[in-house]
Amino acid sequence: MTLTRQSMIFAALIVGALIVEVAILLWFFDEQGEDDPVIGGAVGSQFDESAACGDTSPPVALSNTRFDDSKRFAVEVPPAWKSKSDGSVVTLRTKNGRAALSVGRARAGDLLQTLEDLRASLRRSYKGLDVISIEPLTLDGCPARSVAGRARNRKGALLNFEGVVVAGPTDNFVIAGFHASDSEPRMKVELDRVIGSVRFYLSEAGDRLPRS
Amino acid sequence: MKRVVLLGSFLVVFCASPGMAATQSLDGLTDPLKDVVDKVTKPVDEAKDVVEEVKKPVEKALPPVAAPPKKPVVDVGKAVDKVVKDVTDVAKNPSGGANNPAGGASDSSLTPSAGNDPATGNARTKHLASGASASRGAAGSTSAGPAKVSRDAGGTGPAGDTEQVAAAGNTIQSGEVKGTQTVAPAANVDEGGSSLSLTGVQILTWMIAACGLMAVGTAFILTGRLRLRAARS
Repeated sequence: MTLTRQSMIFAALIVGALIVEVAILLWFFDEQGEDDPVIGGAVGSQFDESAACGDTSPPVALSNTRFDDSKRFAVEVPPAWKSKSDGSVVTLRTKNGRAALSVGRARAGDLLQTLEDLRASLRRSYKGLDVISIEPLTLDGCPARSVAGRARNRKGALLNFEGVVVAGPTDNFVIAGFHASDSEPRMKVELDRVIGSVRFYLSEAGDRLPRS
Repeated sequence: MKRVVLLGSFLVVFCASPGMAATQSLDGLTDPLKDVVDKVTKPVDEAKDVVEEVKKPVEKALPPVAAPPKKPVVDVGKAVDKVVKDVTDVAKNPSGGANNPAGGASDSSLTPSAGNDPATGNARTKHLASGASASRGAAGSTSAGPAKVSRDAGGTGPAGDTEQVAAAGNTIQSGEVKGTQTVAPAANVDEGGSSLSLTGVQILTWMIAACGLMAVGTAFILTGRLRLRAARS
């Protein structure tokens, strides 16, 4: 078998193209992989007492995070979302208005009572509230409970919602995320990701709530 | 023949792998073009936030004009406090006297039984006192200040911010407007379609690059064949 010059060049070209291809794929999947720890982060994991609740390090203001006024919690704002804080409540919305998420402080004390508060508030705010699941989970190492279901809002939009109540290091917190039922499936994934990005901080004195 | 097989396998490998990558990318939001778009949109968002922050003090300044009942409520609270004080004085000193600032006649007209039954007067004092504090509470709750202070202190009422947080979903718009299918409004196309279109651009770029490389390879083969034929002939 003799190799002509053309076949050598052709083989080199193919090898070069494959190298470029592999490089592109490596770069692409590397970027995909960077997101994985966040997507599969705190939400959905089972209750874990060993994990420390909240962040002991002082809050650092990143460009894509939104803190409440007293810096007791922070939430990551995805690129296609806008955010605003109003005192102890931080609200995020997609720019197309098809999803929203709000975080604030909840009633102090028993988490089940806090969850009941959330359910009562949801019942008052929406029509036809249908709770599909209630599950224990951990969020930023803090014990939490989630409630998920469907409801219809005052504008008549059918929503999927996910509410989370969290026994944070200093206070109880409440998170409620909503997206239109007819929105893209990835909206739920993104909403979960945003909920999973919520971080809780101790006060300057480093106080924690005593755990029962 | 070998070259054709080689070219075919190259074509399969080159086209299949971007396809896989594209499938993966449908779930993700990260690509270089999106980063650029984000860099452009972020200042706009920040500017919007600044506007929101500027609006807040203005909105805070407006309520005295927009909500006149606050002052009367406070006035009522003060009046009730005064009545409570007067009644308490009457209860302490049923016969009236020089130390009663409001005067005995007016007191008896306000609380006829106070002069006769101090116990009843005390009970009423308690009732009024609680009423006064309730009024003060109401007046306080109408003003933003005390409510804000308690919120910052972490005790935002019994249920905290739960009501406000739970109501966040009421801003979400329905995809269907009056029977017309507008599931993807203009803004939705912008946001929902942005990552997909960017991924599309990415795929297209890869495809063009792949086709270009294949074209170059094919050109080499063809020119090689032509040269071989020319050399043989």
